[in-house]
Amino acid sequence: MSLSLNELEVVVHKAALGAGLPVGFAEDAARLAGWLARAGLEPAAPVQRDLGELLAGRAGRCALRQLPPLLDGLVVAPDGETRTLELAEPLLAAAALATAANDVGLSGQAAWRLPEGGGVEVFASPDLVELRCDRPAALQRPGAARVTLRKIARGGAGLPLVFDTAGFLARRQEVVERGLAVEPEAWAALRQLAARILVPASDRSRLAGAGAGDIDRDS
Amino acid sequence: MPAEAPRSDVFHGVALRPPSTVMRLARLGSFFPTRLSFMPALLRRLARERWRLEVPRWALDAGGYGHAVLTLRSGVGDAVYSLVAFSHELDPALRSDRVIAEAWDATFVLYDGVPDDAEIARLGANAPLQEAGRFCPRDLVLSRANRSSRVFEQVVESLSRGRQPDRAALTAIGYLMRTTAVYGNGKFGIADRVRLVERPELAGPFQAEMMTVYLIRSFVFRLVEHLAESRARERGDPGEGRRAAPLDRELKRCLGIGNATGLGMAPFLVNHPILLNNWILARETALARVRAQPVSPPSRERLGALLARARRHCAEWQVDDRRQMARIEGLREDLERLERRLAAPRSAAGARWDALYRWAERSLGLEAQELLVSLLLETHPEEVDALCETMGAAERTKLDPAMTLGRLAELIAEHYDWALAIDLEEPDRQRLFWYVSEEKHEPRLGDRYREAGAEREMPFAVARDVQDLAGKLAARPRHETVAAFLADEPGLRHVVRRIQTVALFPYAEIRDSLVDAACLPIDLLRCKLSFFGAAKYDPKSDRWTRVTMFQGAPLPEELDEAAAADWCFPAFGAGQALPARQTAPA
Repeated sequence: MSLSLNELEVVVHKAALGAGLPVGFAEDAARLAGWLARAGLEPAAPVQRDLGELLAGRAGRCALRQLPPLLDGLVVAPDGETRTLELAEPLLAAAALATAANDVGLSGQAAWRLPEGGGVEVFASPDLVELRCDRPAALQRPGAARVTLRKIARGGAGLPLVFDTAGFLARRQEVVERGLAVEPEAWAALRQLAARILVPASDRSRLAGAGAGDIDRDS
Repeated sequence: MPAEAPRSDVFHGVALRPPSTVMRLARLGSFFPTRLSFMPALLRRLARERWRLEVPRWALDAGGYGHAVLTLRSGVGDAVYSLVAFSHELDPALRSDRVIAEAWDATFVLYDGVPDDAEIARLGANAPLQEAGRFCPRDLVLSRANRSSRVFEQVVESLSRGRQPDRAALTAIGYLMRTTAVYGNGKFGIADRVRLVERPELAGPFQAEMMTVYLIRSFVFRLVEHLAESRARERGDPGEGRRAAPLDRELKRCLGIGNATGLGMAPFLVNHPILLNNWILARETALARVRAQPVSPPSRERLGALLARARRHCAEWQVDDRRQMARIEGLREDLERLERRLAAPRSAAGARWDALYRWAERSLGLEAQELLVSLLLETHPEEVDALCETMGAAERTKLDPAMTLGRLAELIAEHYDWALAIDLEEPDRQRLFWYVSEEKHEPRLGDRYREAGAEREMPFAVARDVQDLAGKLAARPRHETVAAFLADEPGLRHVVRRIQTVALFPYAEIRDSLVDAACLPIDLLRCKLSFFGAAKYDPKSDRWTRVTMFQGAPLPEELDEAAAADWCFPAFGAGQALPARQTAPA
């Protein structure tokens, strides 16, 4: 199924609320999911698994809960500052770093080891993004990792490039032109979570809530 | 050269009206369309670039059911867009304008290019399902419409007998079909807005949606003529009445497309603060620029002519809603006073429009003040039209973690004094809650003290959030950063981001509580609809309104720059000339 970026972000926002994240974090969650999609990475599965951590009472491993304040702290920290934490969905750290670079000018690096071996390095600054990985096929496989985030002026990683800024822009254009493919089960689960913020209908809400009766049939 | 170099917010000594004046619900709910509105902006472009309408496909049966393709083609480039229309048989008992409806008289897609048979088949399988269908990035807008049960049939019957329908009945209603939703920006898989922003003709806000409605208007005219011809043919009686008449072009000009708008439109303004800012900022900048202009004899004559037309327009504006009707009656009286003021010698030589505006601010009600704003903008297109290019918003709201809490407190004092002044101990001050219903995700309003669901409310209780934040800030050191504060107060992240946004975009926030028992959502609807260019607001409750879109607008075959530039506040009563000249043969 082909989705639009807006559709993805709206559903992720609502799903995050439905999973219990505060409003401001749900706004960030939508943003991070949108970044993954623009980068040509499947966004629904990591977001759905990550919200699952929250629902299971493991908020400490939930990237969408932990990353926003961590990135805030890195923005105001001196260059070279390093933060390390265990995240259920480390790929979301790449999205968080890139959006912080875009929004508030953070320059930083994120790095982690893939569960099956191999490493990932991300560097983002206001005008540059690079994602490097020596096992790109394993990049999207589920698995927690200990992620190190560092405020740093320049990248210098040696891993094979998955995409740089030009590659990111090309992937983004592809998504805009052709739509976005998502993992159907994860998407369905996100929609179910999003439905948690809906209010059951009643006769009163059907009429008074919308301010309409049969007035729509009078002409 | 001007003696005073203009700043962005002051033009020859005339400042923009402050957000504390403009961003109040009562004023926003008094807005009228202006030259900056999205419908007139679209038509000016279509005329300037000599876009032309073609109908490459018309596959409707004698009952008017089937599909059609109407194509708009640019006269200066390669751009082509098509309205793919599907006309359906509908049980009148199912004809509802509510979001919760499941079937409609007609469904539409604005398509990027000209669809082939396979694409028409794909759209035919999905467009009738509306929200339950799936679409792709070549589909730009999704919409549906219902026939007016009051006049649609009358028009078909009259035309089928070779007669024109009753003008008074037509103009009183103003449309033959009304849309009940016009979806853009990625809904149900259609194109994301970002796909359109590099195209000049669709880069402005809601230009694709307005183009869709404009094409629906043309489709409806062809549909009634098609049905009239079929009926005349079926009747088959020889002699008078055998041949159907085409709908008179003057009557077509009197007809727009109706629109039924409910609460769904209101959250948009809250959820898109930067876009709201840019709309209002363009309007306020235009007003300040025009107020700074001298009152020249031609511009005074022009304003007088526009005012006379607006008075006729308002004289024809009749609604059932008592509150709005009382406002209209007050407006009519105010416009009479405005006309006398304009005719008075003291409003003549040497003055700037600022003097008249200031008099109106002191002397007239909000409806008349805002109508004058629309008229003033009409008199000086050279000061106004370029601002259309500034009304989009590519930016997102951002959080600045490095801001000190002292600065954040200053921003609250500067921009949210209205929120701090609300007594939240008084239950009515936050009686309402906004929510999304399980029923087709329809936005609704509830009473938090009487109805279930308030724990799932949308975050529109801005005053409550701001007061909560201000209280917690008071207990923290002023030099501390937002980053440190939010690490302890994650629930306030969204309101900090909102306040920081408003500091950069001062017209981003509506400065009244949307959860107050006295809040009238209809004010939000009218604000947004005025930016669309919709007119003849016809509230059916405080949460629901009908409007007419493109009423009085030139037809595609009439579009030239003069016609497209001058169709505001049309009046249609007997003997009224339409605002723009006729430019093409019938």
